[in-house]
Amino acid sequence: MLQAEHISFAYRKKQVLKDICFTAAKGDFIGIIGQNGCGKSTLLSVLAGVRRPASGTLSFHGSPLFAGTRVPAETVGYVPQLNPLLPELSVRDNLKLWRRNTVSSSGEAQDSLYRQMGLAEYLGVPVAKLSEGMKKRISITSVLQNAPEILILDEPSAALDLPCKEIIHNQLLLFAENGGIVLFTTHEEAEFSLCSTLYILKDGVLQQTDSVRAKDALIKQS
Amino acid sequence: MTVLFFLQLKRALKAVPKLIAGAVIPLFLAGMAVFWAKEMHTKNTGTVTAPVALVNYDSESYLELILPLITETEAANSFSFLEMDEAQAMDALRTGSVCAVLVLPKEMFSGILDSTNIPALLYLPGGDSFPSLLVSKYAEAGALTLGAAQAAIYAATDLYREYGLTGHLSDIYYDINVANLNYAIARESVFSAKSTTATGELSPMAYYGCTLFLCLLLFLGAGMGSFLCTPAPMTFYRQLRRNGINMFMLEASRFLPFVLFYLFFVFALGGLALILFPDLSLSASAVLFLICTALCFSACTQLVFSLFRNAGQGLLAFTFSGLFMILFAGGFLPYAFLPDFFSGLTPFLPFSACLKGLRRLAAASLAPKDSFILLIHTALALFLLAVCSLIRGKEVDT
Repeated sequence: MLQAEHISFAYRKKQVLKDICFTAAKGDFIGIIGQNGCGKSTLLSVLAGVRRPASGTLSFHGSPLFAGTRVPAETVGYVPQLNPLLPELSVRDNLKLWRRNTVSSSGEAQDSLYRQMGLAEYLGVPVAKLSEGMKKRISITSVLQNAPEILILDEPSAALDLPCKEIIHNQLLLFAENGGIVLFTTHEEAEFSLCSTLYILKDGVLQQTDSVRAKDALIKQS
Repeated sequence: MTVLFFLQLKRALKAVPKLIAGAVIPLFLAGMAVFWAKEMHTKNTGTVTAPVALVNYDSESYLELILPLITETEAANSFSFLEMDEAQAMDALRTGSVCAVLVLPKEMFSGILDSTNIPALLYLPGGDSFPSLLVSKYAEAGALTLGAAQAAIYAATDLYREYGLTGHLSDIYYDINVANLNYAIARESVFSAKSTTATGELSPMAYYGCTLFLCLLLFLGAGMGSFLCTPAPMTFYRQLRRNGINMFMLEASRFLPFVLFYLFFVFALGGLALILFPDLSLSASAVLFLICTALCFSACTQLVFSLFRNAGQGLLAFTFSGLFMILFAGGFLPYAFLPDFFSGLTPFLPFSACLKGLRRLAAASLAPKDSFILLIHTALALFLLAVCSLIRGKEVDT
């Protein structure tokens, strides 16, 4: 179980996250919504271990999540909003870049993942020649190949076409069905209904909501 | 880290074809500038041409036949004959546009053949300019030689007739002519063509060859901007950080392939120079100097691009600073044409020091100091690079 307790974060004097508390169990599919600039990406980067919280603790199965400088990839996988890819290198090389040596999944499992994400035919193609949708799939695959227990994604389906969104949604649902925890931010109304739990971030405070009230809450917020 | 290093190496290799293509045009322009400069700084002091006005009153056509023969002879090589009428010729002599006027009288050539010997007239300006003195000395020497030869021929003719040896006159005429001609000193023993150049102990070719070598390294480095400024968002660096790779390690993973890249080009160009100029030799100190050159170029190039973080801005800054350093080292105009303080700056500017060392390498006077200076510049650039990556790392963390 993932447990966040009293997480706070500030950029200099601006308090972005205030006393964030939530829990997530295996198989949870958690969506975080909120206005642009409300701190959703900051919250995810704190949960992913990119940024250190000013206060509060993050624990997984009762142990602190980020003890050392190296974030355990087999526990937390993070897909940022902008794809962390080297454009002149091939898809295969980019995947190799983000693959941790500690992960011992078979070549067959890797091939199966590449097929599910629709990358098998593009492994030798330079990333610069691919569409944004493909790049997003590569980003997600680069994280999934390390078989994490928690998957954190920052707007994974933003500006993508419907077939691409579907591939990503299916993969994320499969990940949750297999006992993983999915945490992601979104502005897509259609994705609200996919979530087992939906949170709204307002004025740095995280509040639970549901897919029916979420839209109204967002409109009121603006 | 190993994976990152090999992927960086792969990126560097992928960048090579583009940068070679990109380096061709500026290199061509640099080559043009260099050879233009070479022509400008070399002065050939051996050739003086004295214009002589030729006034011809001889209606016979011998002149057309004889003049080209005279002008093509070694003895008359320093003169250019300009045919004009007497009034024009005298004006030209007064204004100084010709240094002498030679007037050929009527029937002069037929007179030579029938022994009438009508003399030609030579007008000299009487000034002390070099062409004028040259012409008057030539005329004086010619008249003396001709007079001596003529006197000898008359004396020999009288003597041979008195002793009834007229049948052998042609032999003595030949000997006298040869003897008198031998009084003339060979031109090359007095006038030797000598080139003076501002490029010092090196020939202009070798001097500007060094500049071209450095320009090529500069343009190759500039072309690597896309490799050094990874076009990746901040999230890329943050993901690396999550994987335990900090900015310092990232810079190191770029530096190692970049050094290999420069080593390859430095030695490839060095090898080419050895083939083109067989007089050059590759000693151990030369190898050390070339390694230091590769290290210095790699470190300085990476530092500039790391400071600017943007391939376009980095390219401009790197190219202009590099060209200025080459200029300060007398790469385009030799020190003779530059303010004195430029040569004093050379050791403090990495590429200037590199160019100076390269010239000493070409002149076979390379000293350990030349490599040592480059190593100091490399160490300084690497230190600044480490500071930059530390600052950058802090930005990534926040």
